[in-house]
Amino acid sequence: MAEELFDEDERDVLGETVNVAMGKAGATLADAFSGFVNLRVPEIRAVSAADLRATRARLVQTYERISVLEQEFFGEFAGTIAVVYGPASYAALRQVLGFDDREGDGRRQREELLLELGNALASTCVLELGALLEMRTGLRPPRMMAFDVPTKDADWHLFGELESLAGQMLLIDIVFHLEAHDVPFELIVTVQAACIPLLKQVLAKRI
Amino acid sequence: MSPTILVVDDSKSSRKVNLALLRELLGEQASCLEANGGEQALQILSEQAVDVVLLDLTMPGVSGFDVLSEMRKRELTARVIVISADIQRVAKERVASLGASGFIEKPIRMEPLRAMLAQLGIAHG
Repeated sequence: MAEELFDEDERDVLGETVNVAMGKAGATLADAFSGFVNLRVPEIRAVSAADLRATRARLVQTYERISVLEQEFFGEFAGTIAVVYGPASYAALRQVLGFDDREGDGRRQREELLLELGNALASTCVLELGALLEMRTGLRPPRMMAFDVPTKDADWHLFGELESLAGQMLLIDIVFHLEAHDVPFELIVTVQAACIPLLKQVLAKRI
Repeated sequence: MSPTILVVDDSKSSRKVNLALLRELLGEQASCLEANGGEQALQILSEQAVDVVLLDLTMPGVSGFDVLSEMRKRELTARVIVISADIQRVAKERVASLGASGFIEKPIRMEPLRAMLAQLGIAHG
Protein backbone atom coordinates (compact mmCIF):
# COMPACT_ATOMS: atom_id res chain seq x y z
CA MET A 1 0.00 0.00 0.00
CA ALA A 2 0.96 3.67 -0.26
CA GLU A 3 2.55 3.68 3.17
CA GLU A 4 5.41 1.61 1.82
CA LEU A 5 6.27 4.07 -0.94
CA PHE A 6 5.37 7.45 0.50
CA ASP A 7 5.37 8.72 4.06
CA GLU A 8 2.57 10.90 5.43
CA ASP A 9 4.21 14.22 4.47
CA GLU A 10 4.99 13.03 0.95
CA ARG A 11 1.40 11.86 0.48
CA ASP A 12 0.14 15.21 1.75
CA VAL A 13 2.21 17.26 -0.73
CA LEU A 14 1.39 14.86 -3.56
CA GLY A 15 -2.31 15.06 -2.67
CA GLU A 16 -2.29 18.85 -2.88
CA THR A 17 -0.50 18.71 -6.23
CA VAL A 18 -3.08 16.27 -7.58
CA ASN A 19 -5.86 18.55 -6.24
CA VAL A 20 -4.58 21.46 -8.30
CA ALA A 21 -4.34 19.33 -11.47
CA MET A 22 -7.78 17.87 -10.76
CA GLY A 23 -9.17 21.39 -10.35
CA LYS A 24 -7.89 22.38 -13.79
CA ALA A 25 -9.32 19.23 -15.40
CA GLY A 26 -12.61 19.73 -13.54
CA ALA A 27 -12.87 23.26 -14.93
CA THR A 28 -12.34 21.82 -18.44
CA LEU A 29 -15.22 19.40 -17.90
CA ALA A 30 -17.43 22.12 -16.39
CA ASP A 31 -16.80 24.33 -19.42
CA ALA A 32 -17.69 21.50 -21.81
CA PHE A 33 -21.03 21.05 -20.07
CA SER A 34 -21.60 24.67 -19.06
CA GLY A 35 -22.27 23.23 -15.63
CA PHE A 36 -20.78 22.51 -12.25
CA VAL A 37 -18.57 19.57 -11.37
CA ASN A 38 -18.38 18.37 -7.77
CA LEU A 39 -14.76 17.59 -6.95
CA ARG A 40 -13.99 14.90 -4.41
CA VAL A 41 -10.70 14.29 -2.65
CA PRO A 42 -8.76 12.04 -5.05
CA GLU A 43 -7.57 8.60 -4.04
CA ILE A 44 -3.79 8.26 -4.23
CA ARG A 45 -2.04 5.02 -3.37
CA ALA A 46 0.76 2.69 -4.28
CA VAL A 47 -0.58 -0.43 -5.93
CA SER A 48 0.63 -3.91 -6.74
CA ALA A 49 -0.72 -6.20 -9.45
CA ALA A 50 -3.28 -7.56 -6.98
CA ASP A 51 -4.53 -4.04 -6.16
CA LEU A 52 -4.89 -3.26 -9.85
CA ARG A 53 -6.94 -6.41 -10.34
CA ALA A 54 -9.19 -5.23 -7.50
CA THR A 55 -9.54 -1.83 -9.20
CA ARG A 56 -10.54 -3.53 -12.42
CA ALA A 57 -13.09 -5.67 -10.55
CA ARG A 58 -14.50 -2.54 -8.92
CA LEU A 59 -14.96 -0.93 -12.34
CA VAL A 60 -16.80 -4.02 -13.61
CA GLN A 61 -19.11 -3.78 -10.60
CA THR A 62 -19.64 -0.02 -10.93
CA TYR A 63 -20.29 0.25 -14.66
CA GLU A 64 -22.35 -2.22 -16.65
CA ARG A 65 -21.06 -0.85 -19.95
CA ILE A 66 -18.13 1.39 -20.52
CA SER A 67 -16.22 3.58 -22.95
CA VAL A 68 -12.55 4.15 -22.23
CA LEU A 69 -9.99 6.58 -23.58
CA GLU A 70 -6.39 5.90 -22.72
CA GLN A 71 -3.37 8.08 -23.21
CA GLU A 72 0.20 7.18 -22.36
CA PHE A 73 2.57 9.79 -21.06
CA PHE A 74 6.34 9.53 -21.10
CA GLY A 75 9.50 11.15 -19.73
CA GLU A 76 10.43 11.76 -16.10
CA PHE A 77 6.73 11.54 -15.29
CA ALA A 78 5.52 8.49 -17.19
CA GLY A 79 2.50 6.23 -17.11
CA THR A 80 -1.02 5.85 -18.42
CA ILE A 81 -4.17 7.88 -17.90
CA ALA A 82 -7.62 6.48 -18.60
CA VAL A 83 -10.83 8.45 -18.89
CA VAL A 84 -13.78 6.24 -18.00
CA TYR A 85 -17.23 6.96 -19.34
CA GLY A 86 -20.06 4.95 -17.86
CA PRO A 87 -23.45 4.71 -19.60
CA ALA A 88 -24.82 7.67 -17.64
CA SER A 89 -21.94 9.95 -18.55
CA TYR A 90 -22.35 9.04 -22.19
CA ALA A 91 -26.10 9.81 -22.01
CA ALA A 92 -25.33 13.18 -20.39
CA LEU A 93 -22.95 14.02 -23.19
CA ARG A 94 -25.57 13.14 -25.77
CA GLN A 95 -28.12 15.35 -24.04
CA VAL A 96 -25.88 18.35 -23.43
CA LEU A 97 -24.13 18.36 -26.75
CA GLY A 98 -27.29 17.46 -28.62
CA PHE A 99 -25.96 14.99 -31.16
CA ASP A 100 -28.16 12.50 -32.90
CA ASP A 101 -26.86 8.96 -32.63
CA ARG A 102 -29.66 7.37 -34.62
CA GLU A 103 -27.93 8.22 -37.86
CA GLY A 104 -25.75 5.66 -39.61
CA ASP A 105 -22.52 7.50 -38.90
CA GLY A 106 -23.52 8.23 -35.31
CA ARG A 107 -21.03 5.82 -33.82
CA ARG A 108 -18.07 7.54 -35.40
CA GLN A 109 -19.38 10.93 -34.29
CA ARG A 110 -19.80 9.67 -30.74
CA GLU A 111 -16.36 8.14 -30.62
CA GLU A 112 -14.81 11.37 -31.84
CA LEU A 113 -16.69 13.30 -29.20
CA LEU A 114 -15.55 11.05 -26.37
CA LEU A 115 -12.03 11.14 -27.75
CA GLU A 116 -11.99 14.92 -27.89
CA LEU A 117 -13.37 15.45 -24.40
CA GLY A 118 -11.23 12.67 -22.92
CA ASN A 119 -8.12 14.06 -24.56
CA ALA A 120 -8.85 17.50 -23.09
CA LEU A 121 -9.36 16.03 -19.61
CA ALA A 122 -6.36 13.69 -19.75
CA SER A 123 -3.90 16.16 -21.20
CA THR A 124 -4.94 18.94 -18.81
CA CYS A 125 -4.47 16.62 -15.86
CA VAL A 126 -1.14 15.07 -16.90
CA LEU A 127 0.51 18.23 -18.20
CA GLU A 128 -0.52 20.15 -15.09
CA LEU A 129 0.85 17.39 -12.85
CA GLY A 130 4.13 17.38 -14.78
CA ALA A 131 4.41 21.17 -14.58
CA LEU A 132 3.57 21.35 -10.88
CA LEU A 133 6.01 18.55 -10.06
CA GLU A 134 8.61 20.02 -12.41
CA MET A 135 9.03 16.59 -13.98
CA ARG A 136 9.34 16.47 -17.77
CA THR A 137 6.49 14.66 -19.47
CA GLY A 138 4.90 14.32 -22.89
CA LEU A 139 1.73 12.72 -24.17
CA ARG A 140 1.26 10.12 -26.85
CA PRO A 141 -1.90 10.33 -28.98
CA PRO A 142 -5.10 9.25 -27.21
CA ARG A 143 -6.82 6.02 -28.14
CA MET A 144 -10.37 4.84 -27.58
CA MET A 145 -9.70 1.45 -26.03
CA ALA A 146 -13.36 0.57 -25.64
CA PHE A 147 -16.56 2.07 -26.91
CA ASP A 148 -19.81 1.20 -25.20
CA VAL A 149 -18.88 -2.41 -24.43
CA PRO A 150 -19.63 -4.59 -21.39
CA THR A 151 -17.05 -3.47 -18.83
CA LYS A 152 -15.65 -6.97 -18.37
CA ASP A 153 -14.78 -7.08 -22.08
CA ALA A 154 -12.94 -3.76 -22.19
CA ASP A 155 -9.36 -4.01 -23.38
CA TRP A 156 -7.22 -1.78 -21.16
CA HIS A 157 -3.58 -1.00 -21.73
CA LEU A 158 -3.63 0.30 -18.17
CA PHE A 159 -4.28 -3.20 -16.87
CA GLY A 160 -2.49 -4.98 -19.69
CA GLU A 161 0.87 -5.35 -18.01
CA LEU A 162 -0.44 -6.68 -14.74
CA GLU A 163 1.30 -10.01 -14.95
CA SER A 164 4.71 -8.42 -15.48
CA LEU A 165 4.29 -5.83 -12.69
CA ALA A 166 6.70 -7.04 -10.03
CA GLY A 167 6.76 -4.05 -7.66
CA GLN A 168 4.42 -1.19 -7.06
CA MET A 169 3.24 1.72 -9.09
CA LEU A 170 1.36 4.85 -8.13
CA LEU A 171 -2.38 4.98 -8.77
CA ILE A 172 -4.42 8.19 -8.74
CA ASP A 173 -8.19 7.88 -9.00
CA ILE A 174 -10.19 11.04 -9.60
CA VAL A 175 -13.98 11.10 -9.79
CA PHE A 176 -15.74 14.15 -11.18
CA HIS A 177 -19.43 14.30 -10.47
CA LEU A 178 -21.38 16.32 -13.00
CA GLU A 179 -24.00 17.94 -10.80
CA ALA A 180 -26.84 18.73 -13.21
CA HIS A 181 -26.85 15.23 -14.67
CA ASP A 182 -25.91 13.33 -11.52
CA VAL A 183 -23.28 11.30 -13.36
CA PRO A 184 -19.66 10.49 -12.60
CA PHE A 185 -16.66 10.79 -14.91
CA GLU A 186 -13.60 8.93 -13.71
CA LEU A 187 -9.91 9.49 -14.39
CA ILE A 188 -7.47 6.73 -13.47
CA VAL A 189 -3.78 7.55 -13.62
CA THR A 190 -0.98 5.05 -13.13
CA VAL A 191 2.58 6.31 -12.72
CA GLN A 192 5.39 3.90 -13.54
CA ALA A 193 7.49 2.53 -10.69
CA ALA A 194 10.65 3.87 -12.37
CA CYS A 195 9.41 7.45 -11.81
CA ILE A 196 8.91 7.05 -8.06
CA PRO A 197 12.51 7.82 -6.91
CA LEU A 198 12.54 11.18 -8.71
CA LEU A 199 8.99 11.91 -7.57
CA LYS A 200 10.07 11.30 -3.96
CA GLN A 201 13.01 13.68 -4.42
CA VAL A 202 10.69 16.37 -5.76
CA LEU A 203 8.25 15.91 -2.89
CA ALA A 204 11.04 15.94 -0.29
CA LYS A 205 12.04 19.46 -1.39
CA ARG A 206 8.52 20.71 -0.68
CA ILE A 207 8.06 19.29 2.79
CA MET B 1 -6.01 45.28 17.71
CA SER B 2 -4.33 42.25 16.13
CA PRO B 3 -6.64 40.21 13.88
CA THR B 4 -7.28 36.53 14.46
CA ILE B 5 -6.98 34.47 11.31
CA LEU B 6 -8.12 30.85 10.98
CA VAL B 7 -6.44 28.72 8.30
CA VAL B 8 -8.62 25.77 7.24
CA ASP B 9 -7.20 23.06 4.98
CA ASP B 10 -7.07 19.27 5.19
CA SER B 11 -3.53 19.41 3.82
CA LYS B 12 -0.83 19.99 6.43
CA SER B 13 1.58 21.31 3.79
CA SER B 14 -1.00 23.84 2.54
CA ARG B 15 -1.67 25.06 6.07
CA LYS B 16 2.06 25.41 6.56
CA VAL B 17 2.43 27.48 3.37
CA ASN B 18 -0.55 29.69 4.26
CA LEU B 19 0.76 30.29 7.78
CA ALA B 20 4.23 31.13 6.45
CA LEU B 21 2.73 33.67 4.01
CA LEU B 22 0.65 35.22 6.78
CA ARG B 23 3.76 35.53 8.95
CA GLU B 24 5.62 37.14 6.06
CA LEU B 25 2.80 39.59 5.37
CA LEU B 26 1.67 40.40 8.88
CA GLY B 27 4.60 39.52 11.13
CA GLU B 28 3.44 39.30 14.71
CA GLN B 29 0.42 41.50 14.00
CA ALA B 30 -1.90 38.56 13.57
CA SER B 31 -2.86 35.67 15.74
CA CYS B 32 -3.14 32.56 13.58
CA LEU B 33 -5.14 29.41 14.24
CA GLU B 34 -5.42 26.30 12.12
CA ALA B 35 -8.06 23.66 11.46
CA ASN B 36 -7.53 20.42 9.56
CA GLY B 37 -11.03 20.31 8.11
CA GLY B 38 -14.48 21.83 8.04
CA GLU B 39 -15.67 20.20 11.21
CA GLN B 40 -12.77 21.48 13.29
CA ALA B 41 -13.14 24.92 11.70
CA LEU B 42 -16.80 25.17 12.75
CA GLN B 43 -15.84 24.03 16.24
CA ILE B 44 -13.22 26.79 16.55
CA LEU B 45 -15.58 29.38 15.07
CA SER B 46 -18.20 28.48 17.66
CA GLU B 47 -15.72 28.83 20.51
CA GLN B 48 -13.81 32.00 19.74
CA ALA B 49 -13.89 35.22 17.78
CA VAL B 50 -12.17 35.02 14.40
CA ASP B 51 -11.74 37.96 12.03
CA VAL B 52 -10.72 36.19 8.84
CA VAL B 53 -10.93 32.59 7.63
CA LEU B 54 -8.66 31.25 4.87
CA LEU B 55 -10.81 28.37 3.65
CA ASP B 56 -10.11 25.42 1.37
CA LEU B 57 -13.11 24.01 -0.53
CA THR B 58 -12.33 20.39 -1.39
CA MET B 59 -12.00 18.60 1.93
CA PRO B 60 -13.25 15.20 3.08
CA GLY B 61 -16.37 15.29 5.25
CA VAL B 62 -17.42 18.88 5.86
CA SER B 63 -16.36 20.79 2.72
CA GLY B 64 -15.59 24.48 2.38
CA PHE B 65 -19.02 24.99 0.80
CA ASP B 66 -20.57 23.36 3.89
CA VAL B 67 -18.54 25.64 6.20
CA LEU B 68 -19.74 28.75 4.36
CA SER B 69 -23.38 27.58 4.50
CA GLU B 70 -23.10 26.79 8.19
CA MET B 71 -21.43 30.12 8.96
CA ARG B 72 -24.31 31.88 7.23
CA LYS B 73 -26.87 29.82 9.16
CA ARG B 74 -25.16 30.61 12.47
CA GLU B 75 -24.76 34.26 11.47
CA LEU B 76 -21.01 34.17 12.04
CA THR B 77 -19.41 37.41 10.90
CA ALA B 78 -15.83 36.32 10.17
CA ARG B 79 -14.81 37.29 6.65
CA VAL B 80 -13.80 34.40 4.43
CA ILE B 81 -11.13 34.19 1.74
CA VAL B 82 -11.49 30.94 -0.18
CA ILE B 83 -8.19 29.39 -1.29
CA SER B 84 -8.96 26.53 -3.64
CA ALA B 85 -7.91 24.43 -6.60
CA ASP B 86 -11.57 24.28 -7.64
CA ILE B 87 -11.31 27.07 -10.20
CA GLN B 88 -14.66 26.58 -11.93
CA ARG B 89 -16.53 29.80 -12.65
CA VAL B 90 -19.60 28.35 -10.91
CA ALA B 91 -17.55 27.49 -7.81
CA LYS B 92 -16.40 31.11 -7.57
CA GLU B 93 -19.96 32.37 -8.02
CA ARG B 94 -21.26 29.98 -5.38
CA VAL B 95 -18.75 30.94 -2.71
CA ALA B 96 -19.48 34.61 -3.41
CA SER B 97 -23.21 33.98 -3.04
CA LEU B 98 -22.52 32.18 0.24
CA GLY B 99 -20.81 35.31 1.54
CA ALA B 100 -17.09 34.78 0.85
CA SER B 101 -15.15 38.02 0.50
CA GLY B 102 -12.69 36.68 -2.05
CA PHE B 103 -11.24 33.75 -3.95
CA ILE B 104 -7.58 32.86 -4.49
CA GLU B 105 -6.55 30.01 -6.77
CA LYS B 106 -4.17 27.32 -5.57
CA PRO B 107 -1.23 27.08 -5.59
CA ILE B 108 -1.31 30.22 -3.49
CA ARG B 109 1.10 33.10 -4.12
CA MET B 110 2.04 36.01 -1.90
CA GLU B 111 0.62 38.85 -4.00
CA PRO B 112 -3.03 37.75 -4.33
CA LEU B 113 -3.13 37.07 -0.59
CA ARG B 114 -1.56 40.46 0.18
CA ALA B 115 -4.11 42.19 -2.09
CA MET B 116 -7.03 40.33 -0.54
CA LEU B 117 -5.93 41.07 3.03
CA ALA B 118 -5.40 44.72 2.07
CA GLN B 119 -8.97 44.84 0.72
CA LEU B 120 -10.13 43.63 4.10
CA GLY B 121 -8.00 46.31 5.78
CA ILE B 122 -5.64 43.81 7.36
CA ALA B 123 -2.41 44.17 5.33
CA HIS B 124 -0.90 47.08 3.46
CA GLY B 125 -1.53 46.94 -0.29
